[in-house]
This record gives sequence, C-alpha cells and structure tokens, in this order.
Amino acid sequence: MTWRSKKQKVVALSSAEAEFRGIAKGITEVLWIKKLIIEIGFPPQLPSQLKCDNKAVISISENPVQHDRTKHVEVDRHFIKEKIEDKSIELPFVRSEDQLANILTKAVTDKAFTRVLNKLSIGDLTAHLEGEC
Amino acid sequence: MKITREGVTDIARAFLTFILAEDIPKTVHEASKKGEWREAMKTEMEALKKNETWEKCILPTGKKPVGCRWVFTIKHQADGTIERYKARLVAKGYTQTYGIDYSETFSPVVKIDTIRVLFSIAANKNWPLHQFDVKNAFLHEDLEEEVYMEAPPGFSEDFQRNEVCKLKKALYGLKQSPRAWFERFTVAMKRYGYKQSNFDHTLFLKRKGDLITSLIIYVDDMIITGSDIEEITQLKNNLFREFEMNDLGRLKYFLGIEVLRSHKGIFISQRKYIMDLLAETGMIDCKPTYTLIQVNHGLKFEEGTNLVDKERYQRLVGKLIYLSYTRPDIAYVVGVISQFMHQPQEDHMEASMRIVRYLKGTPGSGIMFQKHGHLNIEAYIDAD
Repeated sequence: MTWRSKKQKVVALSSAEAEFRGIAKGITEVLWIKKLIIEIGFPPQLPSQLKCDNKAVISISENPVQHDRTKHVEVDRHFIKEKIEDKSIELPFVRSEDQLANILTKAVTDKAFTRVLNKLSIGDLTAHLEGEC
Repeated sequence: MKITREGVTDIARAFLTFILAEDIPKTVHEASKKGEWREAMKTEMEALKKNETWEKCILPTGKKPVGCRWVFTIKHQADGTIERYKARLVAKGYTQTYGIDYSETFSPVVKIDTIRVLFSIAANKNWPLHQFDVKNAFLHEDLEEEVYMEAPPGFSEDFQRNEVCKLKKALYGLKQSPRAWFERFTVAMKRYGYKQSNFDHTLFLKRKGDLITSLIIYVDDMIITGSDIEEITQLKNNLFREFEMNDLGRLKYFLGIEVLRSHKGIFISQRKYIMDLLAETGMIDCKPTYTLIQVNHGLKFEEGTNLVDKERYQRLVGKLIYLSYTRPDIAYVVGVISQFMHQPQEDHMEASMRIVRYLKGTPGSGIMFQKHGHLNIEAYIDAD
C-alpha cells in the first residue's frame, strides 16, 4: 500500500475540478505501481480500481460532454478517459463512508478515523493478532 | 511491551534513559578524553590507512585543501542496546568547488513506495527478506578528481607543516562519493546478470524462468528478496567476494523502520523513532491525545502574530514527515503543518506538538501487509 496527501498546486474553480486533478494524479501513481509489479513479474489479473465518491465526476469522465473549462482540467479529463477506455483502470463509485482516502484530505471525526484505520490495516500489532486469532 | 494510556511503562522509561545517558562528543577534544572514542578513531584511521585512502604530500601552490572533521555516533540495535561506538572522518564537501574538485554528483535514492510494494509482494509470496550492509562503502572508489584534504584533527602530529592528504579514494562527505559508489555497485550488479529497474533505479532484478530475485539498495544498506533461493545465495557470495559486507540476517530494521514478520504478513512500524522523538521534544511524560486535529481547524497564517523558533519547527516537522512513512494516519495533519515551514507561529507549533502527543498514545502503531492471495491494485481517491 502507498498513499499521498498533497496540497494541490492549482486553484480549482469547482470541487469537480479538484477531483479531476486528484484522480489524474492517482492514476499516474497507480500506473507506476502497476508497471513496477509487472516488471517484478506479477501482472495484475484485474484492471486497477480507483474508488471515488463523486458521482458527477465519474459520469463526466466516462461520457465527456464538452464543458467550457480551463485547459488543465481538459488535459486531466482526457487523460482519465483514455485510461478508462484502454481498460488500464476502472473508476467505481464508493460511498463517502467507505472512502478510505478521506483521512488524507481532511480532518474527520474520531469514529470515521478509527473505522478507516481498521480497514487499512493500520494499528498496533497486537490489534492485528487479536483481531485474527 | 505495552504502552499504558497515562505513561510509558518502566521498560520504555529505562530504555529512554539509556539512550539519553549516552552523550556523544562534538569535538575531537571531548572525544579524546574517553577510551571508547579514542579507540573508535584509531579503528577508523587504521581502516583508512589499510585502504590507502590518501598519500601525504606538500600542498602544491595554488591548490586549496578541503577541511575535514570527526563525526561520532553510537549505533543502537532496535531494542536500544549499544551495538558499537563509531567515529568517522568526513571531508567538508561544502568547501568544494564545482568544476575544480568535483563535477557530477547525482545519485538516486530508493523510493519508499518501492519498498512498500516489495514488502507487499514478499508478504503475499512468502519471500524471505535478507538484509546486508557494505562496510565503508564510499572508501573503495578511486577518485578521478584531484582533491587535497587537511590533516585529520587529533592526528596532525603525524604530518609535517604544510603537509596535507592527497586523496586517492573517495571519502565520506565529498560531493562525488555517493555517485561514485552507486556507479560501481550498478556495474557489479549488471555483471551478475541483474537488470536495473526502469521505475526505480535502486532496484535490481534477475529472472530465471519463473523465479525472481530482487535487490534494493539505499546507499550502503540493502535488502535481498525473491523466490530463487539458489540465486539469492549466489548473489550473496558474489557480493561478499567483491565488497566488504555484513550479513545482518533476517530483515529487522531498515532506514529506521522496524520490520516484524509472521505467517499473517509483514508488519512495519517506527516505534524507536517515535521514542527518540518523544525524548528529544521532552514529551516522554506528556499526556497522550487520541485526536490529531480539530475537525474545522482553520489553521492559517495570522498576520501580525509572533513567529516561533523556525529551526526547531522545521526539524520537528521533518521528523514527522519521515514518520508518515509508516503512519498514513498522520499524513494529512503533517501536510497541513508543513505548509507553515517558512513562517511558523504559536498555533502551528501547538498543532505539531499535538501530533507528538497523539504518537505518544500510539507508538507501536504501523502498517500490516497482509496476505490477500492476489496482487491486484485497488486505490481510493478523494479531494477536498
């Protein structure tokens, strides 16, 4: 597993724009890992899934209707579409409660925080052993 | 070792006092008062002599010698006991001039993601993880440039007036040393039939049919893993023949990361690093907190408010960034506080210390690379 929490360098005009930037960055990260494990000798059997909790963004990525937007957003959008079409990635919807990346983008409540950490196998070693025995 | 909610256990306390009790000399003068440090310097000088690192000569006119100094460290094992006292002579590379006594200096370092990917594969495929290091890695390289260095402090009686060292081999601290060493290592690995990865130049791979062997190197520390047990032994033999190596056995401690292994998978954490951080910030006895930051923290730069000690802030944040290698839980907050590196204020320092108190409550926390039985990639993306 790997992760990245990063302040974006561009100013987004809408949340969808920020989300596009995030997805494009996420895809490059995923493709890097994919190429690395292929090189080591283990090509993944399934397309890589990037789970995203924004329905609007998913539908625009899949069916781009022309929007009057700035160029960098267009570049990201085309990149995402291309990667979906060549089956390197899939962009399934995930409910916000199950969005494991939210702990990397904002301060969340204690309960949400603990739930995500458990799902990500983050915690004390004893917790892992107890949970499994 | 279990950490209680209100304070660390006696064992942890003893461990910390132990680390803090050992004071490390800053100058040769301080070091020469103690037998163990004098011994450490002697060992280093003998190694340098044996290696023919330099020859003495009178400094040619028009040449400027590079300075040098001693660096003292105590090597600890993961449980805090002392492994050895180490004295190293380093050149003051910052006095070198580009084009005169050095040219190219770039040398790649391992990406932490590569290590994590490798751990994940090793956990899923039951690959063994072996650890090795190279003794005095830099000292084997023949130096191409003409570099003169002053006589080592504490040993100047061996030199005559005007006499300096003309370096024949690379030395720690010289700008070109890491590059020269990495270059030599790469050549050796290619000779053994390994391919340098296109995605991380510090990863080397060799495939024989279905079997794979991989080596990852960080300066002079390396991990070897793979499914080809025979080739791993062969590689080990080759490396031991070519370099002066230490076999550190099963991987336990790499780049300040502790590695534990069971049939469930591989667990990594930075407990010792957290303990050292707590000691350094005087927070060993602090009250732990279980929340990292308020939900609507609104942390920003306040115009007209006083700044805090910038150096101290940057050092703390730097350590927290390193800690996020095994702690994605702090990644977001560390990202927030690192936005104020250039002008830290009271509020930012407070937020940083809160992370330290959170770590106090969860020092043994880390990541478990579990066996999933597949190596498909799943990612979660969000923006805010």
